[in-house]
Amino acid sequence: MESIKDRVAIVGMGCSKFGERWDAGDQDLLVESCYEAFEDAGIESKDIQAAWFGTTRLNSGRPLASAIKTEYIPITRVENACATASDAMMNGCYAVAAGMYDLVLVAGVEKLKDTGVGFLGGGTGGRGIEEAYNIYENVSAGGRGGGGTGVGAGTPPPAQFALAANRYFHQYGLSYDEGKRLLAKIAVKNHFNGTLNKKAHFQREITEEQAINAPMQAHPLGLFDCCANSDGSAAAIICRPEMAKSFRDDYILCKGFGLSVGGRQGQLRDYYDFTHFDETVNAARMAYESAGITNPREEVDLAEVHDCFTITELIIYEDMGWSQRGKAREDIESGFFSLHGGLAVNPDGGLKCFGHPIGASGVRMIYEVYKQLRGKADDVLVPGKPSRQIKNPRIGVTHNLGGSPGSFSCGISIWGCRD
Amino acid sequence: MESIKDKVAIIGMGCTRFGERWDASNDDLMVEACYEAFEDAGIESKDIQAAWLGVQMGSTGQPLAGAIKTEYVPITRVENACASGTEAVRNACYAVAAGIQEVVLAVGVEKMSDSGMGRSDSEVTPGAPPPSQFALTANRYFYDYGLSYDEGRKLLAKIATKNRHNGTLNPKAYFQREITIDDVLNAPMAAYPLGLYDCCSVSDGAAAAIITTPERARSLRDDYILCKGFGLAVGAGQGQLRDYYDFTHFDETVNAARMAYEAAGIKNPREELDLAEVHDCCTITELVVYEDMGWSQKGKAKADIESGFFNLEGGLPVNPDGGLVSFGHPIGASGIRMIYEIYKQLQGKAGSRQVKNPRIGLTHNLGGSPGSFTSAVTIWGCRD
Repeated sequence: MESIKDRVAIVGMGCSKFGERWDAGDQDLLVESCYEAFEDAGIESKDIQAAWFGTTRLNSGRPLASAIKTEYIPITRVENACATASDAMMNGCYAVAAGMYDLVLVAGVEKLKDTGVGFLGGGTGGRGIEEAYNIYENVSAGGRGGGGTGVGAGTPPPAQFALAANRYFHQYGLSYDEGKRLLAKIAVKNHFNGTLNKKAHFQREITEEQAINAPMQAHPLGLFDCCANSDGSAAAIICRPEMAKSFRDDYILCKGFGLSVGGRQGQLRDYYDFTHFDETVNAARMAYESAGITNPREEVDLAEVHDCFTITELIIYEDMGWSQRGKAREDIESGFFSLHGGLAVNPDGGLKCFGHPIGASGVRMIYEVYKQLRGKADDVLVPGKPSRQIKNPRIGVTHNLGGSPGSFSCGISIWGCRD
Repeated sequence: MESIKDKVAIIGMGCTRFGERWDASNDDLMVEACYEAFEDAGIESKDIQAAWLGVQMGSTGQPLAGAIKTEYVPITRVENACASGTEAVRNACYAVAAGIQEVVLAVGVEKMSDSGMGRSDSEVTPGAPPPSQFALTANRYFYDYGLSYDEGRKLLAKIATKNRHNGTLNPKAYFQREITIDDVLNAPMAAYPLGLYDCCSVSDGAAAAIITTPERARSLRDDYILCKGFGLAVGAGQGQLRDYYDFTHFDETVNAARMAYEAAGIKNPREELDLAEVHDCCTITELVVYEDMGWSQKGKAKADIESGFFNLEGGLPVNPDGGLVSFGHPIGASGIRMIYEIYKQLQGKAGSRQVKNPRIGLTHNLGGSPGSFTSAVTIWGCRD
C-alpha cells in the first residue's frame, strides 16, 4: 500500500457565504462556490473532467451537473453522514492519484434552513437502512437497560453529546460549574474567530457568562455549546502536483486521509465510555501514518475540527493526540488552541460560527486550511478587523465526525504547503 | 490520463437470491452476499482494508460495518441513482489502482419490498412514474422508425421473453417462470404501450465484490477477472431543457459507452464483446441500449432482435442472467449483480446458461429519466 502523500494538489477553492440563505437554492450555492473555485484556479466549468459531489439530501450526481452545466462527465455522489464532503474529497483524490483524470472538481452543498431538516425533533438522523437498526438499537439497548448506548436516530444530537459531556465531567472530576466554564471557553474562542470571517453565519463575539447562562438544550449543553443549522457550499479543484504548477505557484498538497467507520461497536459493547471516540482515534492514526506525522501536537500548525458541540471539540483534542487523555483542560485554559496559540483549532470559527450544512462542512474546513497555508486567510477578513492569518503554517488538518456516540463515520484530511 | 485497464482484478463475488425477501433485513442481505464473496476469494471479513457501499436508502457506510463487523476501516457510501452499485465498484477500483488499499470490498444492497419504495424519486420530474417516462420513449421510437403498435409491442415482447427465459435458468432470479409472447401482449397495460411484462419489478437483494491488484490476485486464484474500463456520464438535464431531445437515444449511455470502450481499447463493440448485462428497467430501454451502445445501428435493432442476436446462444448475449426483468431492481444492488454474472460467465461457471468461451463482458446501468440520466458502464475481461 502506498501513501497518498504529495500525489494530489489543490489549485483552486471556493466557499459560499454560510447562513440562512433564503435567497439561494442548492444550485445557486453550488454556482457560488464552484465559480469562485474556477476563478481561483483560472479554469472554466468545461475544463472539469470528473467530479465528486457531497450532499445528504439530493440524489445522484445530476444536481451538480445541472448547476454548473457540465456535458455528460462522470459525477459521483458520496454521502457519509457529517463526513460526506471529506469522503467526496478522498474519493476524488484517489481517482487523481490513480491517474484516471487530470482535473477534478469536489463540491459539497447542503440547504438545511428551508428543507425541513432540523434534527432536534429526532428521527431525521437516520434514513433507510440506518433507521431500521437505530430503531432496533433504541428499543433493544434502551429497553433492556444493559450494554449499548441506547443512542440512535430517535435521540436528538444535543442529547447524544450531552451524555459525553456528563460522563467526561464525572470521569475527570470536573464539577458542573467547572465543566460548563471549560466548554464555554471553546465556544468563546470559536465565536471570536468567527467575528473575523466574513463568510461565517455568526460574526458576533460572545462572553463566557453568556455561554454559561444561555438556555439549556440538553444538560449540561446550553445554546452556545451547540452549532446551528445553516446553508452553504464549498468546492475544490484538484489535480496531480506536476500539473499544479501550471495553475499557480502556491498550490497545496494532500498529505494524508483517514476514514474510519464504526459498526456500532459502542452501541453493542459494555466498555463504551463516551469520553473518547474510537472512530476519530483510528482515522487520525491512518492520516498521521500517511502524512508521516509522529508528533501531531508539535507538527500540526492549524486544524479545523468537528465542533458540532463544544464537548465534541474537547474530546477531539484528546482523540487526535494533541492533549493527553483527561488533560485538555490545561490546554484550553492556556489558550493553546486559540487563533495565535500553539495549535490553532477552528481558526475560521468552526461549525459554531458556520453552522453545519452537512454536505458542505468538510470542504469548507479544507477551504480554511487552503487559505491559511497560502498566507491568504485575510481574503475573507471582515473589513476593519485585525488579521486572522496564522504565522507561517506548514501543515493543516481537517476532521469530521458523523453519527452518534457508539457509531460514527470520521473523516480526516491533512494538507501541507508545497516544498 | 491513464486507463484503468488491467490495473485491478476481482477475486471473489457474492450475490443473494433476489426477490421479496421478507425473511431478510438489509444486514442479512449484505451478510449473504459478502460471505459468499469472502468464501469465493478465500479471505475473511478482517482482511478487508476498505469498503464502498452502494445503496440508495441510507446515509453512511456504517450499516455495512455493522453487518460484516469490520473494525473501523474506511467505508464510503456512494449513491448515483440506479448506478449506485456500479459506482461503489468504480470508486473502489480507483483506490486500488492508486495503490492506497490492496484488498477492498464493494457492496450494493437495497430492500424495497417492505420499505415503502415503489415510486420515482427523480428531482426533476417527481410526478411521472418510471413506466410513463419510458413509455414516451417507446411511442416515439415506434413513430420514428415506422413500427405500428402491434409491431412495436411484439418487438418489445421478444426482449421480455428472452430475459425471462434466461431467468428460468438462474436460481438466484426473482422470477424463474417462462412467459410467451402472448402473455406479454395480453398482460395488463402499465403505461401505454408498455404492459406489465415490459417493466421490471421492485425487489430486494445484495451483491458484493472483492477487488485487488492483479499481482495479489494471482496469488489467490487462477481465474480472477480484470477490469478493462469504466464509463460514467451524468446528465445535466440537457434533454429536459433543449428542443432537440428525441427520446429515442440517450446521450448519457452513448457517452458512458465511449469512455468505457476507449479505456478498454474496444473499437468494434458488436464483434469484440461476448456478453452484456444491461439496464432493462423496461423492454424499450434495453432496445434503445442496443443502439446507444453501438451494437445495432440506429433504428435497426429490430433486425437483431428478430434474428436472436441478443439471445443466450446469439452473437452477443444480453442479460444472460435474466436481467432486471427477472431479478427486479433493488437499486443499490443491481450494478454489482450484473458484474456477478459477467464474473461467473468469464470463469465458465454460469451453469446451464453458460455462454461459450466468453472473453469480454460489459455491464450497463441507467438511472433517472429521459432527459436526465446517470449512466454507468463497466467492462471486464479474462486474465491473459
